Amino acid sequence: MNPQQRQQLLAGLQQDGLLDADRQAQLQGEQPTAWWLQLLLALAAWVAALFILSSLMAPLLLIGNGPGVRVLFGVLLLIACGWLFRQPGAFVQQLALAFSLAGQALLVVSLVELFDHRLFELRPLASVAALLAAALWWLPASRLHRMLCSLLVLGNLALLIGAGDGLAVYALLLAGLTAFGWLSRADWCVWPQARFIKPTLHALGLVALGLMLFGHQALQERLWQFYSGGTVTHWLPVFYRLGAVVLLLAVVWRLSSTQSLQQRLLLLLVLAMVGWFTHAAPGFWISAALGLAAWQGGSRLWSWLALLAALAYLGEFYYSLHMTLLHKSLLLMGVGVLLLAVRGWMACGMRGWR
Amino acid sequence: MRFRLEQRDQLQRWAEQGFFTADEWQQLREHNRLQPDSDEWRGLLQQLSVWAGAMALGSGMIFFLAFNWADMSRFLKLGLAAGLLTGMTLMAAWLADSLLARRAVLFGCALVTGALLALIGQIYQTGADVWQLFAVWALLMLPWALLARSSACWLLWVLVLNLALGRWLALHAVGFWRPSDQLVLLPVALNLLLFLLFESQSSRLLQQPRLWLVRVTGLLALVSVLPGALMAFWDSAFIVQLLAWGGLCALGIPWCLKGRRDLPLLAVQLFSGVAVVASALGRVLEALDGFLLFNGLALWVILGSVLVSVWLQRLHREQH
Repeated sequence: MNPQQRQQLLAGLQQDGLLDADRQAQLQGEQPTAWWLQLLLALAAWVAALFILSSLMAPLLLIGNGPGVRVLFGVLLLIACGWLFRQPGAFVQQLALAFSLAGQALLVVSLVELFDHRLFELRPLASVAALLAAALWWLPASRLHRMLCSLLVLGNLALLIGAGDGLAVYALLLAGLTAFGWLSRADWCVWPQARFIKPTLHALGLVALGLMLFGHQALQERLWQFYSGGTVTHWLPVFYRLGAVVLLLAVVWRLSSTQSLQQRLLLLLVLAMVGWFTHAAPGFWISAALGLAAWQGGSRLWSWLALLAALAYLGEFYYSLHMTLLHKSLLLMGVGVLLLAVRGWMACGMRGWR
Repeated sequence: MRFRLEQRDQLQRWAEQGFFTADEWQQLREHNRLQPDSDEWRGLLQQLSVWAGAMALGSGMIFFLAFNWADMSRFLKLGLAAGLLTGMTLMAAWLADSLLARRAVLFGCALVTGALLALIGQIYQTGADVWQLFAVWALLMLPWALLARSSACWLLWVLVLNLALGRWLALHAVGFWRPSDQLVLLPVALNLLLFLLFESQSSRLLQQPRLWLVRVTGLLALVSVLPGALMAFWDSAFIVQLLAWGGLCALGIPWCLKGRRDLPLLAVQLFSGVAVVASALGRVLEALDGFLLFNGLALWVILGSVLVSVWLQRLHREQH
C-alpha cells in the first residue's frame, strides 16, 4: 500500500470516529521495512549464517563426527535460534531462521542415522522432520518461521501419505481449508491466535497449489517411483475432479450471499454445467476457488499467486497423459469462447447484477 | 467509508498484529464494508473473463497446432507464424492509441518475431550462432517497442540485447566474469547507455514513465561487474572489474542520494560494497585459521549490513 492510500485510510478511520489521535499516531508510526531492504537483509543474514556455521564445523569435527555429536550441535543451533528470535530487527530474525533450518536439517539426518535407518528411505526422514517442525511451530518466532514450519509439516505429511487416493483427499482438504481461511479472515483476524493462523494459512495455500500442480502423472509420480519402486496408476480419481468443482461452487455460493436466491442458483447451475465438461482439468477450478477467496479476504498477492499457479498448471496439463492433446485443445477453446461470451454478456446486458 | 483492496488488507493486518480489540473491530465492521462490493466484483470478473478467456482460447489453439505439428509442411508452419504476426500487427493498428490491449498486442508481436526467427533457424538449419538470433530479434523488435511505448516491451528488448551480448562474449571473449581484455566491460557500457537512455528519454519512450526500467538497467550494469570485483582481491587479472565497480558506485551513490532519490538502487550498491569489503577482508585474514576467519567475515557482514540497513531505513522514513 502506498503512503497516500495509508494516509487516506487513517484519515477515513478518524473521520468515522473509530480512531483517536493517539491510536492514529501509533498506526502511523508502525511502518514495515521496505520489501527490497528485507530481501537484501535476508541475503546478508544468510551469508553471515553460512560463515558462522562454517566456522563451527571445524571444532565440531575435532570433537567427533558421529550422529550423537551432530544431534548435540543441532540442538545447540535450535537453542541459539530460540534466543535470536527474541531479539528485535529484521536481520536478526533472518539469522535465526537460517539457524533454525540448519539445526532442523542436522537433527533430522542425525536422528535417522542414530536410530539406524537408511538415509535414502523417505518415510523416517519425513516423520522426524514433520514432528520437529510441528514442535518448533509453537516457538515465539517470526511469521516467516511459522510459515516454513507449517510448510515442512504439511509437505512431509504429503510424503507420508504417498501418491494415490489418500493424497487426492489431502489435497482437496488443504484447498478447502485455504479457501475457508481467506473467506473468514475478517472474523479471525482479531483473535489472539491470528499470528498462528495467518502463516499457517499461507503454508496451506502453497501446499494446496503445489499438490494441484502435480496432480497429474508427472513429477510426483516419478519421485514415488524413484523412492518406493512402485507405480502410480490412478492419480486423478473422479472424486478429486468433482471435489475441485464443488470447491469452486461452494466459494461462489459464499461470495454471492448478497444476491437473490434465484441469481445464486442460476450462477451455480451454469458453473456446475461448465464443471461437468471441464472436470478433467481440476487445477483450474482449484486455483480459481483459491484466487477468488483470497480476493474476498483482501489479499491481492494471493490472488495473483493463484493465477500464476493456473498458468503453471496449463504447462502441466499440456504434458499430462490422461487425455489426448486434441481433447485438451477443444476443451480449452470451449472454455475460452464461453468466458469471452460471458464478458460480452456482462458488458452489454448485465443490468441486474447490483 | 468504502476502502480499497489494499486498505482492507492493511486493516486486517493491523487487526492480526493486535492493534484493535474485538469491540473496536466489531465497531469498524459495522461502520465500514470490509468486503469487496458488487462494483468491485463486477470489475474483477470482467477483467478475469476477458484475460482468462483469451488465454484459454490462445492455449487451446496452440495445443491444437501442437497436436497437428508433425503433419504440417514447412511452408504451412512458416505461413502460420507469419500470418499470426501479420494478424497481430493489423489488430494493433486497428486498436485505439492509448489502449492497454494495443500495448499487449504489440508485446505479443515482439514475442512472435522471436518465435518466427527461431522457426526459420529450425526449418532451414541456418547454422547461425545463438547471439545472432538474439541480436536480430532485438533489432527487429525495436519498432514494436517504439510503437508500444510500454515498459514490458522495453524490458524484453533490454533482456534480449543483454542475452545477445552475453552469448557473443561467450564466443569471442571468455565469458562475463572471467578476465581477458577490455571486452568484459562491454556489458557495463551497454547497460549504462541504456540506463542513461531510459533516464533521460523516458517520457518519449514510455507512455507511463516507470522508474523500475531505469533500476533494472542500473542493476544489470552493477551485477555484470560485481563477481569480477569480488574476485579481484584473489586474482589481479580482475582488477578492471573492481575499478569499474568502484567507478559505478562513485557515480551511482551520489546520484541516488542527491539526484533522483532512489533508495532501492542505493541499497544494492551499498550491499554490494559490504560484499566487496568482505572479499577484501577474506584475503587479508587468509592466514588465520578457519574459525577466526569465518567468524571475522560473519562479524563484518553483520556489522556492515546492520549499519547500511539502519541508514537506509532512516532515509526511507524521511522519504515517506
